[in-house]
Amino acid sequence: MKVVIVGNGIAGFSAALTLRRLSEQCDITMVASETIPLYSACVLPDYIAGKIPREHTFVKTDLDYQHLGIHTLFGREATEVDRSEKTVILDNGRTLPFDRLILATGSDAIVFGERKKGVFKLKNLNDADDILEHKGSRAVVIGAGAIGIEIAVALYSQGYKVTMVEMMDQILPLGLDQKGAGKVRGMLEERGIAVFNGERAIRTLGGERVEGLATDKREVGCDTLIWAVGMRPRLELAKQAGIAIGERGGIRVDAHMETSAQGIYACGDCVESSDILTGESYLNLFWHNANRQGAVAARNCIGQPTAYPGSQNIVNVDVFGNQVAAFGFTAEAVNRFQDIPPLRGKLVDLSIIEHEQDGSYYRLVIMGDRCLGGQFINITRDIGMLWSIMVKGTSIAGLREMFANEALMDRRPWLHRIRPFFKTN
Amino acid sequence: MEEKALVLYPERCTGCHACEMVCSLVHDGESNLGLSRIGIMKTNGGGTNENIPVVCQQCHDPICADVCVMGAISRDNETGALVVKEDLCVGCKTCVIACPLGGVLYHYIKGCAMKCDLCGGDPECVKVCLYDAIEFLPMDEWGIKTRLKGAENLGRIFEVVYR
Repeated sequence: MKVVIVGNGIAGFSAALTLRRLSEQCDITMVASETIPLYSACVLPDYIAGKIPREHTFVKTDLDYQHLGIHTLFGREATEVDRSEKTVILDNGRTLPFDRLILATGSDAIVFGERKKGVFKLKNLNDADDILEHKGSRAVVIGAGAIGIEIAVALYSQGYKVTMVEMMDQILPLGLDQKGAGKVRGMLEERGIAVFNGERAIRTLGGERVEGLATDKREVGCDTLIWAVGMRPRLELAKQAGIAIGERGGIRVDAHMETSAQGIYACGDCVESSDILTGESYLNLFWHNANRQGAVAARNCIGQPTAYPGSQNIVNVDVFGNQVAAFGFTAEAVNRFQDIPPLRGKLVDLSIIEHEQDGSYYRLVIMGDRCLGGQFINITRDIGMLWSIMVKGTSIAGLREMFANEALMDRRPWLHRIRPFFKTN
Repeated sequence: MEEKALVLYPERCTGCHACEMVCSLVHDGESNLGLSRIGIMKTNGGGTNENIPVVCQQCHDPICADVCVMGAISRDNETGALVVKEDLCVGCKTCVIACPLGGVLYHYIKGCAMKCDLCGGDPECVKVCLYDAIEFLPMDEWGIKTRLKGAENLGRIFEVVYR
């Protein structure tokens, strides 16, 4: 069987690896515009901060592809898919026939306005190289999500004076509620990073070089401007091929990661996938989701029907030595759930368990009898079980009953680890 | 190689920490409970079992490996253990957060993830335990033993519930 994979991110690589594990005969070809082996975009801020050298961002080497017997066409762009002929056409005119096609075209950072000198995004390794080469001294980071915060912290450690501008009225809007976000904001401000919430970037100032950013409230001078407002799926190829795009702006796939076109699968940042808690389609652009989707796509493609269990989100940021972690939904997000059928009508009893002590903080978002999210600052141990309880949909009332019965607790010793989380309030 | 697993017996554990001391000793050359891959969880309940050994169970579908953005956790085909490649790990702690068991820990000196590697197939904690609270058994035998233990436990639960 001939399988062509477009994209060499974790989704594409995970698909290739799974295919090879399942079949030694399968003819696997990977096409990617970058000429380098798989690297981790998630650690690029660490590279910018000088915490790890450039070569440490790589997850695989060219040799790994050879050992796996994967044909690589790196440095080439797939420009067209001919569905009737079952071929992919490359930018150099070459056509690749396929029996199955896997689209793992990934995402790219959203950038508005003109790309003056000194304006950057951070998605690819060469974006990080560009930022390092630039050597500015005053930076504005637009967007205060996990990536924005990581970039701000990294630039700060490189001696930049950093200002953050965030449109929403809090930082980390997808991970934390107001209270936790306020704490993280405090950690940034303590180091002299200015954070402007609820401000919209209007335009970049300066001529050929960027000299500042105008928001709806002020002008901030800078020589480095970084867009970190989010990622957008790369859909050129899918659109050209006439593959259906979902409402959230990603390729629409079924539970088997198959697109609207038979025999063409998609995985990773370019797809919108069902959330494991709500079943609704979202853009869940996380490494582990892409990893799993790639494996699921590969299995289905080779004739082993496998369903994707759903996407999970986990945010984990190190802010000057403070570990900030969150999974699931914030209370704020749950409040907006009115529209989501599986959860509709259950909003009556949203409850929060919240506790803070000696610089650590946690908040569990509970709706009805289910935990729907958790937010943690400086707590890393024992929260994995809370995550699994959330994903599994374990009854919180049932848990509390168990917690109260020592004899039962003895038979489920691992629950001792999470009992303290439910003790306060 | 025959697949083997660490079997833990909370009811035999006295909480002496010998396993933790030897674990850190063989891995890091110092007896340091903070660097032990195995841990004794002290429960503060009023039940009978107050010391519970906790260690990575080398899952078949490991979430720690799944969430690792560097692909730094992989299975050693020889021993079946999930092993952290320390040169790849960037110390982001996502695996520590994700593991439901608390099987992955953070090595505060090396700044990377650490977890049980089954000592290359011959776990020291098993040898050092004076009370046989940890055994390293072939999967088959392990299955039978745990089932027997499960039946025994069920009996005790019934005793408590229907007394």
